[in-house]
Amino acid sequence: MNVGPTVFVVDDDVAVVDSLSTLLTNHGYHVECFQSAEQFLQNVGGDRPGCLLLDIRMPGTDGLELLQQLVKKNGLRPTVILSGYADTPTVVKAIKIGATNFLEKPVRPQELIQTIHDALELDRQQRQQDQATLRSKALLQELTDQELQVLAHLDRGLNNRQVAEELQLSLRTVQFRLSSLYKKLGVSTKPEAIAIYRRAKGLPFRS
Amino acid sequence: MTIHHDVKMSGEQNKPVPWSLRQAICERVVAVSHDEKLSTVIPQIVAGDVAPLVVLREGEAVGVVAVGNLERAPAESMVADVCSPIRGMRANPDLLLSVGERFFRDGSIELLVLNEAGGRIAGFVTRGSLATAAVRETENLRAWIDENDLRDEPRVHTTSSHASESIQAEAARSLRTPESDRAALASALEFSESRYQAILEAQPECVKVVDRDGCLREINPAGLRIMEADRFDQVRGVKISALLSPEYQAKYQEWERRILAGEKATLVFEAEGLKGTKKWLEAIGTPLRNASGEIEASLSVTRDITDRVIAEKQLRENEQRLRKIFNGLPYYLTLFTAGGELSLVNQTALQSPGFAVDVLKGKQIWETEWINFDPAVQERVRAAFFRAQNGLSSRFDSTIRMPSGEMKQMEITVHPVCDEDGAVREILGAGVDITARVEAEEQARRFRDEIAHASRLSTLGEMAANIAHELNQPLAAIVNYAFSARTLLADIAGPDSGRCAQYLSVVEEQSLRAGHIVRSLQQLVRKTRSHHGAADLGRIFEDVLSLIKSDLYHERIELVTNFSPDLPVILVDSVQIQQVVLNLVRNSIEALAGVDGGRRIEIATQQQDDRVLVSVSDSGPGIPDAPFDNIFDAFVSTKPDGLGLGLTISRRIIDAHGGELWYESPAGRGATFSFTLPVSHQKETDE
Repeated sequence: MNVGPTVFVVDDDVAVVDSLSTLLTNHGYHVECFQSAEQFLQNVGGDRPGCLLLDIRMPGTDGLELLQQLVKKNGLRPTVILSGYADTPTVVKAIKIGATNFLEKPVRPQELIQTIHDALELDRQQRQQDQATLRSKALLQELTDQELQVLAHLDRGLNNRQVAEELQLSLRTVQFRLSSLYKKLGVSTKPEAIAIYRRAKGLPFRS
Repeated sequence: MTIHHDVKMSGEQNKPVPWSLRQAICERVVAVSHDEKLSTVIPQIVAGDVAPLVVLREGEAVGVVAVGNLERAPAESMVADVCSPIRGMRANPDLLLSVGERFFRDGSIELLVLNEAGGRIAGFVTRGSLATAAVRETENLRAWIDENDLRDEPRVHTTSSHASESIQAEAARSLRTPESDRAALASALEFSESRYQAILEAQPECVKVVDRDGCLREINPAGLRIMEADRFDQVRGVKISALLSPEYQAKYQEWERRILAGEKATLVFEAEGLKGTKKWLEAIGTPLRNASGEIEASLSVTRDITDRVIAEKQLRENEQRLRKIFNGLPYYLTLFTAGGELSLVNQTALQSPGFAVDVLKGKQIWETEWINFDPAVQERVRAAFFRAQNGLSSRFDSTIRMPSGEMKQMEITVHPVCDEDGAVREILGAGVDITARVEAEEQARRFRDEIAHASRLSTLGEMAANIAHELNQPLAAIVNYAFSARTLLADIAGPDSGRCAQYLSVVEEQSLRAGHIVRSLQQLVRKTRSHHGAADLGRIFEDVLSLIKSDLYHERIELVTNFSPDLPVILVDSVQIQQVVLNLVRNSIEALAGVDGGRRIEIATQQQDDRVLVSVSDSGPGIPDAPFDNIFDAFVSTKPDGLGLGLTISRRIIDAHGGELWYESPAGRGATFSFTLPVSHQKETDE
């Protein structure tokens, strides 16, 4: 079933859940509601795009514990905490664990909608990012060990001659390996090749 | 009345005269007759003679009394023998009563009177004086004297003799006593002797004769008992002063010396009996004179006063002990007469810097400067004194003003001191300084209150978290539904859809505000971020007034607004300031609830330099002074069901904004709550 991005609402209060669902549905969002953390964990995998709208105080597993479990499972998606009672330590803890935003009930609907919108956008970007990384990793798989070695040295900022010296190769050999890996990666410039390398390795881009 | 006893007798003195006897006779006869001559005559009688004494009045013989001696009787008993007629004549009622029933029950005594012919005349001398007695016999006597030709020679001669036979013989010769009368005389004397023996033996006090050397010559049985002697032999000739405790020996000798010099003297001393018992004794001594009037010995009557001395000593010790306690107690003790006059003050009070007897001069205690500063205290003390005058005790705590102006807390007891009949004689006023105790209690109470307050606050903190959560859930739902409904309405064309959407918007806004209030309550117990922003006071009031409009209408309260038109924009948390204004207006509405007519609330704003002043006044009863120390404290409320948080929260909010909140409540002119907010307050007062 592909329903697009979903707002997953987890709150034990039926009225809150229903009103949120009504409000967000009216604004064109796809909403799925859960009245406990356990219910959510059982039914929703990390692969589904969307964001989480989460209450803190709940019977059983509470909001913070759910967040921690999701982090452990690497299934954390952008999460907005919506709490009736927010003291500073709780807010700090939630943000540290990985919550995206924190709202207090009752929240002004426009603010809620904006926050949900931002969260979904973040999810979209993250998923896009994830796609690019996967692609880069697949491309690197195509390279030989020697080609990968040359690329790694280039990433360190060395020029062709320095790479040749470092690897005790001839400049020609280096140039040959470069043209081969360019072809395999489908790029024509050194920065492009380095970008793919860094994305695959999860390294930040240099300015 | 002068009576002369002119007694003449003849006879030899062939045995020592008992001084006690002589003295006793002299004393008693003299006491009545004032005739000193008698004292020189009587000793001769006791030498063993029987002598008729002729009693004269103004030179006229008015009676004859025969006195005699019975040789076979011991010396001691002669006192009785010879004294009795004399004593009878003296008619001392005390002595008469103490003698035999037969003679004295009717108050008279039988006298043995011998006539010239030896005839016996039985005369009756009644109580009273000799004169009376004698007069009653005058007729007989006169006849008798005439008959015997005594007028010319009123003196009766007796010849001394020391045997009873010779007494009788002499009596017979000089008085021509017949045998039968002699026998009667002997019998009378014998009776007299035994009577006196009885008197002396029955005498509970020690009677003794001590010679000039201080040696005991004679003593009665009571005296022997006091000396702890079984027989007279044991103490005959004993030096009395040797029996005394050393510290009294000198005094005793001085006392003896005075007696021997002719004085009558009394001495109290401590002596030890032969068996070692210490006794307190009181001795009354008189000199005894011999025939020529020289003092030869002392006669003393001694009483054992040990019990009395011990009792007195115990009484004295008791009194001293009680006095020590009275003085030493850490209470201010004052004793007043029943009329309220100060009669005794203990040391504690005297030494207290606040006490001065002068303060009480001419005043009742409640009129003094200690008490008179407060009519209520004064009345209390006065009431307590009146109660005491009526026999009732009072106890109360009161404030007393020291001369230094310092106030002391006293526990005061006012207690009547009654005599045996229950009549109030004195009033005891006792005060204990309990200032320190009261202060300690007050401090402990404050401490308890603070703890209770803290614990209430912490409980409230937990409560606030729960309440916040529980309230915010439905509020959130309301907001969400209202918003959803409003969104849907936008698509529905209808005549009222616009207004519905507007109402829903209000529902949304008010729910959000409710959420803010709940959070502000949390902020009271948990410091958290407040959201300051540029705010328009006019706008804030508009919101508040729209909320209370219906309340004002229903309560028929006139609202007067007096807003300054161009107030600067200020940096505040609008919701919080709204809450403050709302609290104040709500308080005013509630204050006006009991007011009939003229219900009015005025809200005013104005700029004062760099501050904005907001005031909310009402025409209610105002804020009572007494029980409300600080109505801004948490849980202090003038309202019966008030939580006591409204003003507390308000003040904290205003404090957090760098402003001030206060109230004025002039008597009878309602109450005005005012607060200020700083104008140029760029810095956010986040906490």
